[in-house]
Parts: sequence; C-alpha cells; structure tokens
Amino acid sequence: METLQYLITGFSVALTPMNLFYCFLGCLWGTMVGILPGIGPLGGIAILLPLTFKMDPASSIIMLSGIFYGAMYGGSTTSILLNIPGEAASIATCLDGYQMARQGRAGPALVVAALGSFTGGTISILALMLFAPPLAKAMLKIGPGEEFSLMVLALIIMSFVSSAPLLKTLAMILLGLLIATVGMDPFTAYPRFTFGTLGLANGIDFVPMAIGLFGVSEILMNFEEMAKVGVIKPAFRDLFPRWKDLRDSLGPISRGSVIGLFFGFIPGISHVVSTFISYAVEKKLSRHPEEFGKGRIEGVAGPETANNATTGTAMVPLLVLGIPAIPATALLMSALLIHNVNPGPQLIQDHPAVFWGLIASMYIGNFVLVILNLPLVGIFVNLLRIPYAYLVPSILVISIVGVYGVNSNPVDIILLGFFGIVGYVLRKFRFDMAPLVLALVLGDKIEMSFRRALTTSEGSLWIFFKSSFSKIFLIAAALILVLQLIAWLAGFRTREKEESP
Amino acid sequence: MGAVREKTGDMVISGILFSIGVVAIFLSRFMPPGEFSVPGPGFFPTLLGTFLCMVSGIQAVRLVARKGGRSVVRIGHPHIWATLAALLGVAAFFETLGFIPVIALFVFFCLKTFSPLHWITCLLVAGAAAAGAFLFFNVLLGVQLPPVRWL
Repeated sequence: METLQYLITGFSVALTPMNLFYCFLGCLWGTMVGILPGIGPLGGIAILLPLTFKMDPASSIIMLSGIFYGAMYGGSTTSILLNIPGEAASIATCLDGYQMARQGRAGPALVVAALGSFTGGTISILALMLFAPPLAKAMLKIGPGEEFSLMVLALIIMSFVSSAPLLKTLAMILLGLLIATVGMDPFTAYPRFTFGTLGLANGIDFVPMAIGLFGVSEILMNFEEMAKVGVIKPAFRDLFPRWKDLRDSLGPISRGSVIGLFFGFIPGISHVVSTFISYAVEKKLSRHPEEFGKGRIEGVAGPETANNATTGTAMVPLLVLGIPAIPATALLMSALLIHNVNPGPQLIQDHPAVFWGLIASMYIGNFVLVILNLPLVGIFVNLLRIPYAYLVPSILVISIVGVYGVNSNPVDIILLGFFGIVGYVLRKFRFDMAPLVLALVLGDKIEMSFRRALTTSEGSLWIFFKSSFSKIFLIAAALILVLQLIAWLAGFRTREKEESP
Repeated sequence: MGAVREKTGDMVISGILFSIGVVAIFLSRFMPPGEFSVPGPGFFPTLLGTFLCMVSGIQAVRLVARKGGRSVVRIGHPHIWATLAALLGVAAFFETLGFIPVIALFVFFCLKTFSPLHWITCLLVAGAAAAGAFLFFNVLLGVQLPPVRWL
C-alpha cells in the first residue's frame, strides 16, 4: 500500500510536461544510439550528460536512464535487419534475428523483440520498485568498512568481466583511482596534484574525459571502418507475427525475464552475459536445437527479454548501495553527484522524488519505446542509410556543446580532443575504458570509506573483517582475484611453451 | 596510416603508466601522510602510485620476457588528425568569433574532409546545422553559448 502511494507520487513527478519530454528525448536518443553502430550507450549517455546539468536531479536521471534502456531496445533493430549489433548486448539477437529477416520474417522478429523487451523491462522495473526500498533499509546499517569492501569487490568484478587482459584492466582501475585524487582532499581540503592552479582545485573535469574517452574515441576508431551497408526494410503490414510465433515466444520471454533479473542484481555482470545465457538456455530446452542460428524465434525472444530485464535490476546497486554495477550506471551516478544527490541507502529517504520519479518514468519510457521501435521502425532504419561521414560532425557538435556548456571554458574542448586521442590509443592496444571511468567515479568514495574506517578503528585493519558483510565481500574479491591470477599465470606459461624453440 | 608493433605500443604505454605512478609517489611526499590511524592526504595517492608502478612494471617485464609478438596495430587514420585540428580550431576561435560561425566552419570542414559532397552543398548544410544547433541548444535547452561577437 505504501509502495503504491510512493508510486503515485512518482507518477506525479514523471507526468509533468517537461519530464515527459525529457523521457521521450532520452528514449529517442537511446534508440538512435542503439541503432547506430558508430556510437554505444556509454558514448550516448556521456554526450548528453552535460546538457542535464541545468535540469533538476529527477529530470536529469529520467533523461539519462531513458538513453540507457532505450539503447537496449534500439540495438535489436540493427541486429535483426543488418546482422550488426547496435550495441554489445544485442549480439545474441543477430544469431537468429537476421536469419529470420533473410527469410522474410523481419516483422515477427522485430515485434517479438519489442514485446520481449517490454515484458523484461516492466518486470525489472517492478523488481527495482519492490526490492530497492527494503534493501536500502538493510544497507543503512553498513559502515565505512563494509562500504569499502563492497566497492573493492565491484572493481575486482569489473576486472574479471572486462574484455581486456587482467594487468591492463588493473592498470586502468588504478589510474582512475589516482586521477580521482586530483583536487582538494575530501577531509582536510589540502590541494593534491593541483600544481598551484585553480582549474585543478575541483579535480579533472569528468565531462570532457567521459565524452572524450567514450564518444570521441569511438568516432576516431570508426574512421577506419566507414562503410555503407545494405538494409532490409520491412513494411508496416509485414510486422505482424503469427499466433504460433507469439505462442513459441511465451516460454523464452518468461525464462529471459528471470535470467535477466537475476544477473542484473550482480555488480559487474553486463547485459551481454545475461543475453548469452538466455540464448544457451533456450537452445538447451528447445525440441529443435539444431535450428538455432537458422531463424528460431526463441533465439530472439529470450535474449532480448533478458537484455531488458537486466536494465532495471542493474540500477539497484547504484540507487541502493551507491555503487555503479556497470559502466553505464557509473555515468548515471556522476549525473546524480553533480546535482548533489548521493546515491546510496539514503537516496530513497532523502530524495524520494528522484527515486520514485525515475521508477514511474521507466514505466512510461517502456511504452514510449514500444511505439518508437515498432510502427516507427522504418524511420529509424533510414538512419542507417546516412553515411557515417555525415553523422560524425553532428555527434562532434553535440559533444562540443556538451563540454562547453558545463564551465563555458574553451579549454574543455581541447581536453575533449586530448581524451579522445588518449581513448583511441588505449583502445587500439586493448585497454578497456570502462574500468577507468568506474574507478574515477568511485575513487572519492573508496578513499573516504577507507580513511573513515581506519579512523574509526584507530588504525586497525580488522575493521574490514569484523562484520559478516565485509568478510563476504573481501573473500569474494580475493577469490575472484586469485582465480584470475591462476588463469593468467597458466596462460603466460602456455604462451611461453608455444614460443620456445 | 601508420603501423606499430603491439609489443612496442604496450611497452610505451606501460612506461607512461609507470612514470605516472613514480610522479604520484614523488609528489605525495610533499603532502602530509598522516598516521595509519588517521591517514592524511598523501596516504592514498602514495598507495595507488605504488600499486600502479607494480602493475605496469610487471606488465613491462612480462613484455620484455615474451618472445615473438610481431602483431601490428594500425594507427593514425588521416581523418583523426583532421578531427583533432578542427577541435583545436573550435577551441581557439569559439569565444572570439561566436558559436554560429565557428560551428558552421567546423561542420563545413568536417563534411568537406570526410564526404564527397560539393563545397556549396557543404556550405549550405553547415550554415543550416549551425543555426539549427544554436536554436536547439541555446533557445530550447538553455545552454549558454558564445554569441556572434563581430557583428
């Protein structure tokens, strides 16, 4: 009953004309970002992030999360029509979705993907709504020791799931944590690494760094692969699936929802993991596993549902614990921090309009996305006909406006270019940017928790092993690290054996 | 477009990261370290700098010890330098000339460099894009942008 009342409050926030507009804008931009292979959800969020600074916190998070879950919807369109995943989590959809399109069944694939996304999205929002408040109450009891252990676990999990080699990921994490120390010390206001300049007193500006590392570097990488592709374009009348398609999709959609929900709660587990697990489950349970990869509708329904079911629950660690579980939520966290809204156990208590407004807007956004991705799919698909060379200037102009709009300082445009080239070079040599940004966002919090814990315990490290939560987090982090080290050492020895004469 | 051996690139990046770690440790010496029970501002940067030196050092040693490694990374497409030069130009003239002229020039330069469009088409598209961007960001979204100063 209480939850219903809060939800009604949330809808009163989300249904204001401006917030409806921002939700629509976020979903639209997210869908475009999901469809266009040249820019991912991280770049899409980073680019619009500075434009939200003038908005109130609820509006800001409504628009940015619209981009986040919008990209999950949009990614399936190019997977099905082009065999090009719009974003990484749509790779599994390519396997059967494109084959269905080649068989003249693009319409049913798109409809089932949209229905699955809608179902998964709705269920994950329900889960967020039901689990977050009691979890937040439980988390109010955790102290600085547990906070520190949990954040270390999040970073270690990130090093585990990153596609880059272990040492490179660890280096990026440490670099991000070090960059976060630039500026005033959070306890004593002592200037660190400022070199006497006022410009660095508040630290290195996050916005040009994020947009440069994700948005601009993506553009620079894509210059090497600019090519037009042929597009399968279904007519609206061909969109309708058969009754058999809907019946066959029911089971995968149900199972995909559960898989996505479960994996969304685990920090560091991205959408890609849940989609592939869903695909594997459907193939295993199918009476015709040999037909997977040749146009089975279950191969589209399950992964797309899991993808969107991960989205809502992936917000739980951010909103309840103040720990971004995946890189996209790290950017959402930076948006909240800029508005002086601290995500964590106190968020629901201190800023109920932000939390419940976000939940309500996610319900609204889910409906908006079905409309954008079905009847209007033809319009979005035409975006793909635009040569990348024409899209580049528009993306760069948005980036320039974004960084300049924060501080009205042209030096930020130079920083944009600088971080763009840094991101390009690092990505070329297989360094992952996501751990760097995650560590940058968490850096201050980790240091504060660590120092506060040591002050409380008068220098005793046992504070990190006192409570059960803290023990569990640190043991899990140590186990993951040890497993990775073993795998790394084994790989190193194998490589040595192969290369010796 | 140039090519760099992946091993060489990795070595250079490891060297840079190691240097960043060394600089962090060196500069942290001038910050109050505090005590273990009350860590000061220099404590955490020293710790991080040390770990960064260790990780990048291990990476560098591993690269030196590894035999082979002849794979090559293609780097430096011409459009990249054009983009960076254009961004520098925007930064240099943004507040002197104003948003609309600079963005129009920027879009014109990008379209002429990246696409086969005729220069008149590029000019028209650039002008429209700059005006449209000003209306959208400044008027609709309220982002403060430098006005045209030389009119």
